[in-house]
Amino acid sequence: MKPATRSHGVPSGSRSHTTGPSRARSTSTGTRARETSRRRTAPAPRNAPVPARTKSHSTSHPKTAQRPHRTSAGAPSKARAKVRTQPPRRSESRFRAGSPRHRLILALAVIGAVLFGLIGRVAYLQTNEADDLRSAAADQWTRSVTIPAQRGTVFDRHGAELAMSVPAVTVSINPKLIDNGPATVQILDDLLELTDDEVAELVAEVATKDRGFVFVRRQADADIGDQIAAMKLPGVNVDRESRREMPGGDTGRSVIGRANIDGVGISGLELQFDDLLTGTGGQMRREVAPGGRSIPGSETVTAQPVAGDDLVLTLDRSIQYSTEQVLLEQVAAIGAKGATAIAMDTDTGEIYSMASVRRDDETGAYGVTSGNFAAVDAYEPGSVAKVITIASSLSEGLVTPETSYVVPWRKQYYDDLLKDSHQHPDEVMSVARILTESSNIGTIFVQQEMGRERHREFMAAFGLGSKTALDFPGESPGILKQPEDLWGSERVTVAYGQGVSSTSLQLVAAINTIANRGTYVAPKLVKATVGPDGTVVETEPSEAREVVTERAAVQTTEMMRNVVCSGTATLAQVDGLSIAGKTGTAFKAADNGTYFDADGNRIYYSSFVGFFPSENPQVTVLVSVDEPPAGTNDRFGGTAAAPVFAELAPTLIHELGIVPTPGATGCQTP
Amino acid sequence: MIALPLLRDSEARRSKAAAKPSLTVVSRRRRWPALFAGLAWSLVFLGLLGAAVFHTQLAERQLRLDRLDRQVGVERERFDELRYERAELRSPVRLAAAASELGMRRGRASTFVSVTPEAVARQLAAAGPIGDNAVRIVIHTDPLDQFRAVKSVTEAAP
Repeated sequence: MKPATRSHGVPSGSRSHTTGPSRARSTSTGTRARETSRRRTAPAPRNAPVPARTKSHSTSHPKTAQRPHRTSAGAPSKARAKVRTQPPRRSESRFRAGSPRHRLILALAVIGAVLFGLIGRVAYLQTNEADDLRSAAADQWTRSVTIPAQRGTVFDRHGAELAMSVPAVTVSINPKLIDNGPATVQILDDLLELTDDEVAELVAEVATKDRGFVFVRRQADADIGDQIAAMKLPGVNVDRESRREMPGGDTGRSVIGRANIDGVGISGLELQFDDLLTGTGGQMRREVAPGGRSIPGSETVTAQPVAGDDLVLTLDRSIQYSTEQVLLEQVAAIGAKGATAIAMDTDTGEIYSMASVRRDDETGAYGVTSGNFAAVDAYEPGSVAKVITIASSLSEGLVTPETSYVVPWRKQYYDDLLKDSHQHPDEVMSVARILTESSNIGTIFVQQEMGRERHREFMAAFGLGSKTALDFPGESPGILKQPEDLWGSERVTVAYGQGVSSTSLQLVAAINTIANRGTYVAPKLVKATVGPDGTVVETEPSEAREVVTERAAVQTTEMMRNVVCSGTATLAQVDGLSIAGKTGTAFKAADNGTYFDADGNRIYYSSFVGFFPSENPQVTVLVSVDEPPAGTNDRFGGTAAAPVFAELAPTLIHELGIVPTPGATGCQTP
Repeated sequence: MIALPLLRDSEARRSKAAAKPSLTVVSRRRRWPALFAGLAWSLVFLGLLGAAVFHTQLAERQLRLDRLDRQVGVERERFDELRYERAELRSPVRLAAAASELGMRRGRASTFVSVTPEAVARQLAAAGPIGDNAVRIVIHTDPLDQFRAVKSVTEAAP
């Protein structure tokens, strides 16, 4: 007996050829085979059922399969008749008698269905899920890196760079990939001049190999970075970035502010215009090896970074530098705590310089501050505010420069005995003389002509009590109380600048109103911006509003000229230049709520504000000295601040090309 | 007995003659499909060849573009470095320090001098008039203009 498996091993073609498509033939063939099998094996009953296995075997045997030809050709035998009496089982017949054509069609149909399914799936993956799958695949072998946009440059009004970004590199290591740790650290130390602590830390990192990323130096010089990159040290990465630099040193630092190590503005204009300066970062894809290391040369920039806009400030670098230097020299000379100064274009409100210097309490050294105290700190302006009171009264027509009052040197108001700066008998003083000699009592008389409410309205119109248009970060609005909120003698001291506080920025803009013929013009610090395509967009002109009449402004200017020529500000004189100005020596409020320090000494805040040429003012300058030494002659505005103005004036004249009015002789009589 | 074979031969000849195929005129075989197919294959071949060449050129140009792009980046960085150095050199801080080393001091006062027409006339008579060309020796190097020009090129590049 042959193994049953042989029946399955017969080629279908052979079977098809020998047996034919007829079911009857197949049946007779099977019958003959069964008979043969019966004769070979054992006698069995004639009609006994034959085991299926045997039948199957005999049916598929090649030799047996050829017999039907002979049988059908000449065998009308009893056997055929007998066979016909035994119908084949239905299942066996189906298995054996499956038409090859049908099977082929079925197989093709199945294959077609499978292929159709595959094609459908492919089409589905290529359409609906293509993006997701593509990105998922890309994520496995690529890394996306943000390309920082170049931060915009800050220029002065003449295009000189005040703050800019320069190429730099970040050096980092992957200790796990470093072969010779100590040698690598030694090389990095030689090139980057690391500190001993940094070297020790790196040596420990490369020894333990715990971390996969360690910063070595950020914002290193690009040249050094190129040297390190050229060595191709394993595990050492050099990535390009930028570093914020101020080519002019600290010049303008108070205004420009700072950006942190990641290039984000954190103070000053860098903070205020951070969105503008930052630009839009780009995207770069780089392929990575299975180990996570980048494949060199595989970088592809998918989105170009767009550089930030550039700022063109109204500052003049030379004037800014001179202002800072003059302030530093003065505060160091008299031993003041600090000082601020602002130079402003009379017509446009453009600020040429805005400086702030201060003494370091620990070292005692003076330096330019990173904070813009000229805009952030508010103090009582003192006698400078008399200009506002007098000009307002003149504008209202309540007084004239010749209007006179009998002015005592001191007078009781509410619970305070208020005094002038110096003792004098009761004397007749004109409004002009009141301003020239800076009489507190006389100024109160003038304010009382106007009334507190109207006086406050004028002070608000001059810009006190609200932030300027600069909206500088941290800018103070100062304090300008409502008349009903004034307490005690404050009701009258606001006339000469006590009981009201303002920033230097507010004060210079207020006095500039007089220089600008009664029209307030908002201070301005940004002249233009430069877009990504290099186009310059000029900023809007400063807001302007008329506050006092031109006549009142001219009259006040003349009084202020007398202040410089024969009043309290003679140290502000410049030969050949007519200057109008006003000094202020205010008491500064201490943290203890009084005007005295812990030692019981008065604390002063001395100022001088002036503009020139007085016939046709072009620039207004305010100098404020914080805490000049009490008990010395340097505590007054005329002695602490006015000399700074006189020192600064030649630079302004030179840089701004100011030509004195023909025939003007300054304070000298022609 | 003799005639039989003859008959058989004649029958055979007749049957042979009858078995001869009748000749018919066949229309000339059309050649344009073959020509069309050949042309199409040629076009496909040339197209594929062109695509291959085009892709090669594309890759080469892309490499060149990448090189130029990197070069632009390098030059841009160089421009920024030079700009920074120039700003440093021109900064009042450096100039004041250099002037101080030379023993110079800041002027404390300004003196304004009125030049009379007679003085101007004497000067002109001595030195001759000053033409516009004398002013042109000063090279106009506005840093902002230079920066804008470079930025408009580098940032506007695709």
